[in-house]
Amino acid sequence: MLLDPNLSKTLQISLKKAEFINDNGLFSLNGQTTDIFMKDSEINDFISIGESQIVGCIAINSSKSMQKITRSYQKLGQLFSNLLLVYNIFFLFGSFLLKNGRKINIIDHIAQEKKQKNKFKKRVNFEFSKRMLSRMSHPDISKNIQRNEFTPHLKTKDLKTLYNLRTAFFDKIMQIVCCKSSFFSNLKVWRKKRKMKEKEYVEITSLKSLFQKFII
Amino acid sequence: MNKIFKIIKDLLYEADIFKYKFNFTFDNGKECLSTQTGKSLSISLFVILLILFLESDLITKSNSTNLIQDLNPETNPEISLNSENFNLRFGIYDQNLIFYPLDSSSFNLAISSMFYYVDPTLQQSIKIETLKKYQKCTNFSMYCLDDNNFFLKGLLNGKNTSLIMVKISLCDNSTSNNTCKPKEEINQFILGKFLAIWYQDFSINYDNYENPLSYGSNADLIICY
Repeated sequence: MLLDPNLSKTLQISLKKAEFINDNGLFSLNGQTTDIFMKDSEINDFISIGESQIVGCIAINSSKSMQKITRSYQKLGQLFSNLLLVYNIFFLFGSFLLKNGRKINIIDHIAQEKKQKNKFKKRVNFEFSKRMLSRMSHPDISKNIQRNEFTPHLKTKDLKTLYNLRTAFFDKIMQIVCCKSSFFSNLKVWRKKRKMKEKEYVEITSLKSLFQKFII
Repeated sequence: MNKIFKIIKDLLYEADIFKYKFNFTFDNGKECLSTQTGKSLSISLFVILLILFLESDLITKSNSTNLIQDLNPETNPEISLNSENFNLRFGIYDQNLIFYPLDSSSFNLAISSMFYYVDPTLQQSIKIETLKKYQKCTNFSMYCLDDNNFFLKGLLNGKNTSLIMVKISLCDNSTSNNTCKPKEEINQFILGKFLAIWYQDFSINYDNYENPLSYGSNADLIICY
């Protein structure tokens, strides 16, 4: 192998300074800084270094990119977004299962009932409203129902009003309770106790205004 | 007029953002109705969220997001190297990485700290070379420096540059008082040999959040011919 006295092979190695900030703790702002020197790049090149007998040379120099700051942090936002995503999926699923599904059933029930209203209009509506009212254990309401004082005054127009009132009332109740069976089962429990607290009394009193028109 | 009042009344009704919702309570004044399905779903949701949180990257301290910022200052700051943050070893090896001890009759191995600067009065580049002493390492088949104190400065072709040079040169009778081996024998020896250096290097494992820095040595080889 022939040697070229004027040309030597030199490997250049560049070192870079890296300033590494490592957070001490998850949310700490006081980072610990560490100065390290890392290999940045290497260059194989044939350069003349002016010494004829040199056959190999490795030069270590500093890199132009001298400072490197690395900061690591946790994906806190991603964690919360994942948790919220799971929560939303469950919430929507639960809402559909427990609320929307039964709302649909109630609406179907009402629609089905409306289809048959020509046939059972007077009887069904009146009996249904009466039955529902009779389950109200408020003395003012139940007293009227027991005495059957309002039924003689009902006319066709009143029945229509009663039906509208009943539908509105039924809808409203079902929207709140969202469960027809639970509504009536609660009414049964309620009727058994026969004692109403003050809060319930006030609410029933407000309900009374709904029925005031046809009760009077 | 009544129609206007009705419209106003309707508008006021729609504009009222504090409308009181009609409320109806059951079962000892409870406003909501709880079902077994709802309870099961709620508990399942709570358990799954808890498991997700406990197994999240935040708790296991893994898979961190890294922000890397490179700064490019106009003048490179000086890098001070010492035995604590820098360790340099070198030697001559063949293709099978067999170590060859120093034979001054065949070749010379020199390591030096080079400093180039431009003399303002002479208006020319001045080179200051400081040779470093080395010896055979205790536990390794390579040479170690007695003193690892260096400083790196500037760029390679800049005005004020400081770098480390590891050189292998053939024995020259003109400077070695005719103690060198014959040139053919030296060329035969140097054929297929490598000048190798090991130096301290760092690697960053970005997945390891608590202890991302790992120390290690980096090796570079150059073929001699």
